[in-house]
Amino acid sequence: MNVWHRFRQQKIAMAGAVVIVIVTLAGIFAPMLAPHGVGEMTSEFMATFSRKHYLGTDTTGFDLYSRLLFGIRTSLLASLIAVGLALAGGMLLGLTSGYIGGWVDTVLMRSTDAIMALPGLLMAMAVVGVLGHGVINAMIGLSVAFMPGFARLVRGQVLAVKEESFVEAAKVIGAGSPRIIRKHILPNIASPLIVQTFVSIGFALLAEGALAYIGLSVQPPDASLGNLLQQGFQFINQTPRLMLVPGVVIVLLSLSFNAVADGIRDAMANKERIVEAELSVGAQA
Amino acid sequence: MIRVIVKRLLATIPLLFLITIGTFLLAQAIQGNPAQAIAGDGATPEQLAHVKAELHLDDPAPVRYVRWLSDVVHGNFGDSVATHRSVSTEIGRRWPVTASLAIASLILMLLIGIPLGIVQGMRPGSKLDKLLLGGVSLGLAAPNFLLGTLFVYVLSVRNHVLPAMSYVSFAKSPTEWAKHMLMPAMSIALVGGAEMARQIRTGLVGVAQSDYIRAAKARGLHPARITIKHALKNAAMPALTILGVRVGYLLAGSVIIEQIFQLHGLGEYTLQAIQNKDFIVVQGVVLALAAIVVATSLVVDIAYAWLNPRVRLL
Repeated sequence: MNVWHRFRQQKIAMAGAVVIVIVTLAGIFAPMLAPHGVGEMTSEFMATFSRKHYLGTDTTGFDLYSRLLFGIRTSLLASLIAVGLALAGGMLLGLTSGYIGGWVDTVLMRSTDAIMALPGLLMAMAVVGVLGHGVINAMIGLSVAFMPGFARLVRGQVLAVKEESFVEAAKVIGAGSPRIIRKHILPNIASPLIVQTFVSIGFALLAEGALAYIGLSVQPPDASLGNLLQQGFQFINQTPRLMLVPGVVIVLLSLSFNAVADGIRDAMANKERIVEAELSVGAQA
Repeated sequence: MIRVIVKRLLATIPLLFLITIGTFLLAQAIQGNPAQAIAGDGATPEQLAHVKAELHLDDPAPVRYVRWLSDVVHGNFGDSVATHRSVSTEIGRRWPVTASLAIASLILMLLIGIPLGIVQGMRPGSKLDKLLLGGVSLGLAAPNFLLGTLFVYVLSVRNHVLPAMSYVSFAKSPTEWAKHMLMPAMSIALVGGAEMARQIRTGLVGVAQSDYIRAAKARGLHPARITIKHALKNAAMPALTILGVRVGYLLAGSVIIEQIFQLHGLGEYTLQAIQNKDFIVVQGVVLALAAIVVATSLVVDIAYAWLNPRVRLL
């Protein structure tokens, strides 16, 4: 495929993709790879790097390597949930708004304006306030914050594509709305959506980190990258290792998702009308 | 120009209206059982009824909404469920901290973003540009809470260069204020600065192709002069729009940064209110923050129209 070919030529984007694949695999197989359970105490406290504990242990005796694997698993899964919900909801809203138009469009778009007036992270915090603490609720909150961005992107694309002659032609030969949306509109708006999805996952990782950091997302002894960072910060006087290790992982992952998003954008730029997928994701921590 | 301002102001009114409805509904959802929370666990049914009557909790939601709205318009945000202190007073006490943080971050963000963007945009593709692009990507990927904690570790814990906590008001001592603000503001500003540098670079690269820049080059003007006097005006446009969005990020970032540096600002207040399910405070603070964001984007839009006459024609 042409786009894939052009994507592969970009070294940085490819490096990002490789990092994502490796880290994702580590997350998926965490229960098998981790020598210790996520809440399992070992007999050693504050041990440094060794054969037995690759990344050492913390003050409670938790094995950092094991917790990191589980943390990656939780953080990635959580980000996927947040972005997945936002994508689904945003597509529904955007398609409705753009395709139907009129007062429906006005009401929906003004509502997205109102949601966007509240910074994404605050929106997520507020939703956590309603639903209670926990990673799933935090991610639902985050998806509410991401949704307007997706909805607007989809709406803009639908408005642009709706006037194209091939859509007119489909209408003339009697195609119904579901068919037009599926066959003609969705394929044409796919590329900016994919880019936005990747960028949003990067943001979601950071935002989940932020929420876990202030204690609204994952609760100990469960681990996510953000809550590992927060626990590491408490012992920063004794050893920066507990904070630096999850810190490096979260930056590397977010860097990789951004790089892949840029790579896809560039790879698709020549072929298709690339509309600014410059983001109003709003949740940058 | 006046037409643009009026039009934009008029568009803000329904938006603010929607925001008040959203905030009210949100607070309704958060409250749980506020009468119980206010009266305490050992309250008798009579006491509960008394609290309910005092807060008019038995009235239908639309009635309560209208009452709340008229209070808010008069500057009365109600009293906290947990501490019984006036929300308006508390916001008044805390806003200088958050405003300091936001202004300091904004200034640092411009100081970082504009020069970096110009340096990159003047020679795109050069070694320096590539190096800085790497730095910018790193800045965009680094979460502010990680930057904040790293600053604390390196500059306070290890080297005692800067104080790690608390706040000194600007009026008391500007130098102490700056010392206390530098680390928290920098944690927020690096991400924003990176984004701004990226915008300005992209803007400059785009503008460099246009005829008027080529004309300026042909007349033999100095490249630095061309960039700063001619190209930057147009290249900075997208960066200006980002500035509006950034203020929202600054406020959101302040929640976490205030937590790390133990600053008692609006961010901390919001977090406490959400943790305590203090719906009256949540209502007040969320509305105040949203209003700040709306007001900023209004100012940015008007500034945009003023700087860019083309927008006025729309």
